[in-house]
Amino acid sequence: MEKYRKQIVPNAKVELIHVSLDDEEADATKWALEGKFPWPTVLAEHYEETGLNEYEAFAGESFLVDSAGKIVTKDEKEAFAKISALK
Amino acid sequence: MHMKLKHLLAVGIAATIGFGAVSARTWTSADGSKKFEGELKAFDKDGGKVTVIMRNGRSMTFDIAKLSEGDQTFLEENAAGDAAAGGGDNVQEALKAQKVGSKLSTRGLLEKIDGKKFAKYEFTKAPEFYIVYYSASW
Repeated sequence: MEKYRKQIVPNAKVELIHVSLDDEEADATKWALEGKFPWPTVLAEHYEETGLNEYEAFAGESFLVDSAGKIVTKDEKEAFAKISALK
Repeated sequence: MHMKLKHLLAVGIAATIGFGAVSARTWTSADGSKKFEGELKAFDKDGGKVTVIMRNGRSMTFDIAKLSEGDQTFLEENAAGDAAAGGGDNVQEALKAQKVGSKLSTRGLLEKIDGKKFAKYEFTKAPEFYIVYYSASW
């Protein structure tokens, strides 16, 4: 959360997109409220429309992609190093 | 021109540019006890001040520390987006040119927690990279 606020929010060149894999919006909402998620979210009903289903990811996975959708890295440390270098 | 006045004018102009398209929204106090409707007029990031046009048309300027974390995030995003693209229209144009951004910026696909439920959300910046994070309550 702290990384998001300090390294992503002020950086115009990167954004975090949270994909909720909960089928029910009520479950996704409860989960987001409990976690105090501050980031943009794609709910399950729009998952396929966004194209983010192409990566066939599981809950808990995260990765850095470029604007063309190509995966840059799946390593969190490497991703944040890349983000820091973007400024 | 007096230096202090020059500085104030420069800050005011810089902070105001790009916020013309921001519509009225609900703002929440830092402790969550108060809410009010208003349109963002200016954000002085360095000075930590925000100016909001209230529903009665009056402008109010106050310290951003008095606002909720969500509001502070909103301000940071607006400032970042503004710096990157020079305004809302340019953000949308830049997003349309992307594979990822064009799909995500389609109206209604992105949401964000607003109060106690999800509400529609639109990008305030056109990122070159995205961290995609998948999660579920189960």
